[in-house]
Formats: sequence, structure tokens, C-alpha cells
Amino acid sequence: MSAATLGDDELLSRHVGGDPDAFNELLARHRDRLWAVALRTLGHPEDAADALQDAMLSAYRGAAGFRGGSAVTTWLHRIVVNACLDLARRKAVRPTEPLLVDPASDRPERDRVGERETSLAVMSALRTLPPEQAAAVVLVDIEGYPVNEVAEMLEVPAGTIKSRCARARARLAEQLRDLAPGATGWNDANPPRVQPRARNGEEPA
Amino acid sequence: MSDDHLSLNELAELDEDLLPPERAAAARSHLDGCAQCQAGAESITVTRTALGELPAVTMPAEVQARLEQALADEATGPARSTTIVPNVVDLPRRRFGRPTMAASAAAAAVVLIIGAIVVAKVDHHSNGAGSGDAGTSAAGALAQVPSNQVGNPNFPTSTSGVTYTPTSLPADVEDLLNTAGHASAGPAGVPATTLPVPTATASHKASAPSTTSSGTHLGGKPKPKSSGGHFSAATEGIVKAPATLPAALRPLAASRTSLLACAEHLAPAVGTFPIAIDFARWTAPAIGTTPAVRDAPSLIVVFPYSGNTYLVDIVAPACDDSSIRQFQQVTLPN
Repeated sequence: MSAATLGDDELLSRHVGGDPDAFNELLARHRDRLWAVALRTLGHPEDAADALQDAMLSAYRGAAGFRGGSAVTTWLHRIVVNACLDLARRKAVRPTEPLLVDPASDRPERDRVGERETSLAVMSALRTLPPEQAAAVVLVDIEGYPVNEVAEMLEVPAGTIKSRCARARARLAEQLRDLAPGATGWNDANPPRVQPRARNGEEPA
Repeated sequence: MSDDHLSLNELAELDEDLLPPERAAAARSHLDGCAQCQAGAESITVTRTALGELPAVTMPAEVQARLEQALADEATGPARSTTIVPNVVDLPRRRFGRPTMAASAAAAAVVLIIGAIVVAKVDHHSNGAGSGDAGTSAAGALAQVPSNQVGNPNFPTSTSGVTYTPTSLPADVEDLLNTAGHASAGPAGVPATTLPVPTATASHKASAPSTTSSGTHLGGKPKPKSSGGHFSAATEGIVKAPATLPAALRPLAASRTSLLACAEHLAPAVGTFPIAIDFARWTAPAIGTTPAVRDAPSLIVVFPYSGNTYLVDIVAPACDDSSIRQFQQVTLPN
């Protein structure tokens, strides 16, 4: 049976059992989603790569500790998000770094005028969120995971996820509203205003 | 109340149904007649939509290659149970501050550690090591050091000049301890004497196969030890600067007092001494925010911990609060 047809659980079991290819297959299967979460939570490709490497090595080594009960993807996301939050907490604020250009937004000729600018503005605004809020809103609003699943990933109550998302949206709306008096578009004439990310990552009272 | 405009926070909470019922009712009634707040509510909706419409991303090829390489390096490493995440275990009484890792990484590490360690029965007649107020229960159990393994100030040193790496560390530590006479477990604290030069081949052949949970790989690559390396008994005190001694380490190698101060600084518990220190080098890829280092002169300081598990500090020559390059638990085969 080829690895490609196995379930995530089976791949993880095989990895624990010594199959040298199983973990790579698992990673290949989920890497884009995990990358998206890391990139958008941290806002920097280098940071995202660092966090993802930490996370994948942790997962590789800690696979035997996976208890089931939740999906392998939930477990992988938990490790990735925790690595991201940890890295964000340890890093100092870097307000002067250039704005992130979302790699995907570099694709030429998107089918909607202004999409690139919108994407850029949203990504820039995301960088200003405390990491916990960024992670929540990335998982729920961008990646589209159900609140309950995100709560399981982050091991906090669903209400906490909703609250973080609400606060994140309010902050993002504040910034994006400045860019879009008509509330429908952003443009080069009004580049995004970017505030440094909250230093300690604490959520406002 | 209904005359007060709603903040974006309140509007977002209303949207998520997070407001208490009375507050929500008042907010809705205000919203019905307030164009400004309706615009605010609209901006929350627009934001959600904009987030949902971000284009998909794919992992860049170079990141993919980097991850695959990191996993390949991990796979070729020794299968002895090791916890390689740097700075992951914040033991009580460590005198150096160590950044803590995220809960899951720490939890994963604890799982590995608990899986690997047979927590030794502790006699409390030692000089305080292993007793006292441990932080968390898990860390507390782990921090207990058997009283017959706290080492003593006459720990042996060696000057292998070998370059240790994260993957070779367990095998190198095993070599070091075999040579220092501790690996096959005699109680630490046996007065150090002049020790023979280790030979990597012999000690690797002597290694038992791994018994880790993953068991995906066996043994590290044999690393030829420099024939110039030698151990010196504590009573000799000073290493006679063999060619393998990196210049940056000379001050520590030349002064037993400095070395003892350094060891005390690193000790996991008061009164715990290393069972071996090697003057060597360290090469490691960047992990997280820890930059990559290559052949950096480093002290390899091995503390007894529990059973066959040792705490290994890789320390820059300054041996001060920012000198710990890596801190790792190594469990050797029986």
C-alpha cells in the first residue's frame, strides 16, 4: 500500500514504528496549510520558516506522544501555532522592517483589480496584532477552520477563540477603514498604516 | 446607553454573539438608528470578507528544502533518546535564565523525557540536591538527582577538540563518559585519575542498540576522536594546552578555579558537579532564534541527572549568562 493512500493516523504510526518516509509524506500532505498559518501568524517568511522547522522537528520527535482523540492535523496545527507564538514572544518588536509582501500576492494579473493591494494591506494589518489574536483570526477567518476545532488546536475554550477573533477584527477594521473610506477597496494612494505589534503580546483589557 | 456609539470592539463582539443579552439588545437598538455605527459594523464584515479572500499560499521551494534537510539530519542522528529542542526544559535552580518554549513543545519534550527516564529513587542525605521546592510536579520529579550521582569537584576534563553537533552529541557524550569511566555506571564521584584516550570505534561498537520510542535509526556516525585529545586528572588541574585546545578556551582550561566557578554557575542544583567536561567545538544549524554556529570553541559540560540520563550544556568560553549555546538531555543506552 503506497504511503499516499494511508490516513494521517496510519502515517504517524508508521513513523513512530520506524518508517523513514512516513513523516515526510505527512508533511508533504499538509505543508501548504501549515506554512500559511505560520506565515500569516508571524508575518515574516524567515520567522515562519524558523517556527515551522522548530515545529516539525518537535512533531517528528514527539510523534510517539500523539494520543489520538484529535485529528493529526489538529495536533500538527497546535505544534505549529505554539512554535509561532513562542517565537513571537521571544522576538523583539521590529516596527521598521519592510512590509511583508505576501508571496501569493505577487502573482501577476489577478482577476480583480486591487486584490493585491487588499491582500498587502490585510497582511500588514495582521502584523500589528498580538500573536494570540493573529493566530486565532488566521485560523478562523483566513484558513476557515471551525471555531471549535481552533479551540482544540490552541487548547483554550471556544469563547476565548471568539473573543480573540472579535478583538482582532476590530483592530484590523480600524486600520483597514482608514484605507477604505468607501469600505470596499484599498489603493496605492492610501498605503496601509502599520503600527508595531504589541510588545508583550498581551491582549488589551 | 443607547445614545453611546458602539466601539469597533463591541460591534465585533456583537457580531460574535459575545455580548451579554441586555447589552446586546441595547446595542442592536442603537445600531438600528445610527448610520455611524452601521458603518462600523459594515467595516467588521468587510474585514472578515477580506481575510477570507486572501489568496492561498504555497510553501516556497527553499523552505520546503530546508525542512526536508532538517528532518533528514534528524533521521540520520543517533536514536538514543534525546531532547534536542534547545532551552526547552527550565529546571528549577538553574542559575541561568533560559527562555521557555511554548507549552506544546515543552509538553512534547516532557513526554520524551518521561518516556526515557527511570526516575531514580532519591536518597535525601546529600547536600541538598534533589530535595527542595521544585516548580511543577513534572519538573520536580525530573530535577531529583540521586545522591550518589551528584559528582564531585574532582571531575575529569578532556581536550578532545572534537566538533560536537546536535546529532552527534549523544554518541560523543557516550564516548566522553566511557573514557571518563562513568558510562557503565559506577557512581560518580570516584576520584578522577588519568584516563586513556578514547577511541571512537571501540566505544561505538560497545554501544548497545537504541531503545527509544521511535527507533528509526541506530547509532551516530562514528566520529574519529583526535589522537591528540587526552584526559587530565583533576589533581593535575591544568591541561597542558594540547594542539586540540581552542585558544578561546585556554583561560578556562588553565584555571581549575575558573572552571569550577563555571561548573557551579551551570549546575542544575546546588552541590551538583559535572562528571566530565570536554574542551571542544560545536557546530549546529540555526534553530528558531538561535543562530547557526560552526566549529565554535565550546565547553561540553556533562552533569549527572538520573540513571543513564545526563544534562549536557554546550557553553561558549565566557561561561556567563548568555553563553549557553544549547542545553540538552541525553539518555544513553544501558
